[in-house]
Amino acid sequence: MRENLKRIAEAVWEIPITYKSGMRVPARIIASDSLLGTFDDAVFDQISNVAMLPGIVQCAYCMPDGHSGYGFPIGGVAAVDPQTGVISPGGIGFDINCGMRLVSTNLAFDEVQPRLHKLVNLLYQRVPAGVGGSGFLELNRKEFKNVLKIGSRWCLERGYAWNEDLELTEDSGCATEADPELVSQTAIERGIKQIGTLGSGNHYLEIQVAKPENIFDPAMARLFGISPNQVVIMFHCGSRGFGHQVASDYLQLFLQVMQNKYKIEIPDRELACAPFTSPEGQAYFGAMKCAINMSYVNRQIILHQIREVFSEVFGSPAKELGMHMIYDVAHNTAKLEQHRIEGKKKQLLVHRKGATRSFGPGRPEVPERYRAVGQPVIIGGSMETGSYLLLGMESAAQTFFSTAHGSGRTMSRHKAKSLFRGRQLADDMERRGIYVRSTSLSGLAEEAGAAYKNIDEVIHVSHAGGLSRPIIKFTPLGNIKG
Amino acid sequence: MSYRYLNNIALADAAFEALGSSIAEMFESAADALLSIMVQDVSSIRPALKRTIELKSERQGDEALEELLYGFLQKILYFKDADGLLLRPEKIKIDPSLRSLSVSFLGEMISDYKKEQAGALGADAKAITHHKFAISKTPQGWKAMVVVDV
Repeated sequence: MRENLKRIAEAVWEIPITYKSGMRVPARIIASDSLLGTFDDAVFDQISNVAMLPGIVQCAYCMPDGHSGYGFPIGGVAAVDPQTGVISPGGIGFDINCGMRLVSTNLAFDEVQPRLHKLVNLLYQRVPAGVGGSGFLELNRKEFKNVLKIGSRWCLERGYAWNEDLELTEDSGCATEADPELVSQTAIERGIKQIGTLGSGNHYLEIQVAKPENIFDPAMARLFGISPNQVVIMFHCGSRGFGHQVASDYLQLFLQVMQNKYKIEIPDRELACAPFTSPEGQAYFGAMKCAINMSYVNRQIILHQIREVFSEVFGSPAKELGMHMIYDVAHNTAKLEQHRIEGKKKQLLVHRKGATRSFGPGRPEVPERYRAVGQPVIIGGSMETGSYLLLGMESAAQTFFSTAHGSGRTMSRHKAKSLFRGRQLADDMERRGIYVRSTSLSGLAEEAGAAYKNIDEVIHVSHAGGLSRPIIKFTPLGNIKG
Repeated sequence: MSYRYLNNIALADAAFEALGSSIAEMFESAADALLSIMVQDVSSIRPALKRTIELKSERQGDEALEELLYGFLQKILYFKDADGLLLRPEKIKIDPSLRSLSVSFLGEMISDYKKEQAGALGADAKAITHHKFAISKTPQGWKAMVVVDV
């Protein structure tokens, strides 16, 4: 397959429309020479299948951290015309609105370091992680449906959020027109106890520091309220069992109607889709928004718990510790957005599966305080290497304003478990100044840094490709994993 | 009863092949393979609680059996999230029509398991995918191929 790739720019490779019968548009991969070698072969097959989706516009894209998934590759981006095109749950992922949240503090490394173990141990108690896992909120179904409908506003009304938190969350923490009547009882039962929980796999909560040498744009760092040696908190999680079930339910439904009712031929069951304007397509869109809201609330409740823990350990209210949100951004979604196609403004449904929205300056969706400079992008690295805060760029218009979302795996979980030992990894990390707590020693081994691409290279390519530019790299100090 | 994980199918997730001399045994193998993603040793799950389920398929032939396996594995995920339970199948009865089955499960609360077995949980399985999902008859019995989103 690789011989079919044509380099069309320094960091852009194209699979031509002629590669496979049924492709409606070319597929493009954002990568450097060295990064291209990190993509497993199935990525090329999967991204060219995405290019077959009815209504797809311009190109199917794969971001520099991409790797194979099913249906879409991870890192896959597809924009479809909502009038003539489809919506595909496989283009969003099972963990709907999985995303990143970044929170600042006014604490310096020297203040946090002596209390690191206490902080991590207390966070580990208060933010449940791992298999299953239930949170402290006990909601009845009516209240849970209210969460699904109004998102983060539910937290604000109950004292679990500050006003500014909502403004600094994508969609202001609420996907409008979410309809709880479109989700199954099974989905509700799987999610009702899980608000405020982290999950497992690559989900994490980290205490990090901005080392002086890792601040690449001091002026922008100041805008985000970050100065050298300052400590921040970053976490990564999604809509838990609720979102997983919503995706599973609708994937099943779409499989029943895709060929029989809508005569759509797609070579992969995980790419099951339905016309966006069809009753099934609209139902999924309304149900998916419930999962988007559940996920915002999940991250908001986790933030509340983090503020409580820091407040307890430092003996000061969270506001006095400067625990302001920097931003919350999703990387598993489909959203209706305005884009320019051949110079004309057009509304498109943009699927991003393991890809982060990356708007340049001036977009109305970006919070006012950042609008002039662009949208904050949060990209999490492996637990050993570090994570980034970036800004979206005008030139990201080429990928419908999308960029990478993480490091990108290069090694299977099973292989990582056979190569690394969780206990030894935790001890090694502690020697390097990273204190880690996990419910799962084998899970730690699966998340070893060596199982991932080089995050610095991914960020470099996302910048060279004009998608997002790095502002700060954060180094992990403490980590909680499921 | 046996299963093996496959390295090159799903990089960030888990793919396995489950074998059995009978359909019921193949279902048991698939359940253990799924549970082995979530705990280090399935035999360490204590049989403290019981749950039973019945599943039916309206489909025909292979499709019915596939739907039953899919539903059976999804139930394990359901009990894990909705009730906080880790459950292993105790007895699987498949109707001769191969279109319905009843299962009794035995297991324990995840919270109890965690107290007893610190660090022994694995990764949370999110969903059973349709990617390469298949059941086939082999000279030795039955084989299922399953990819789990982690």
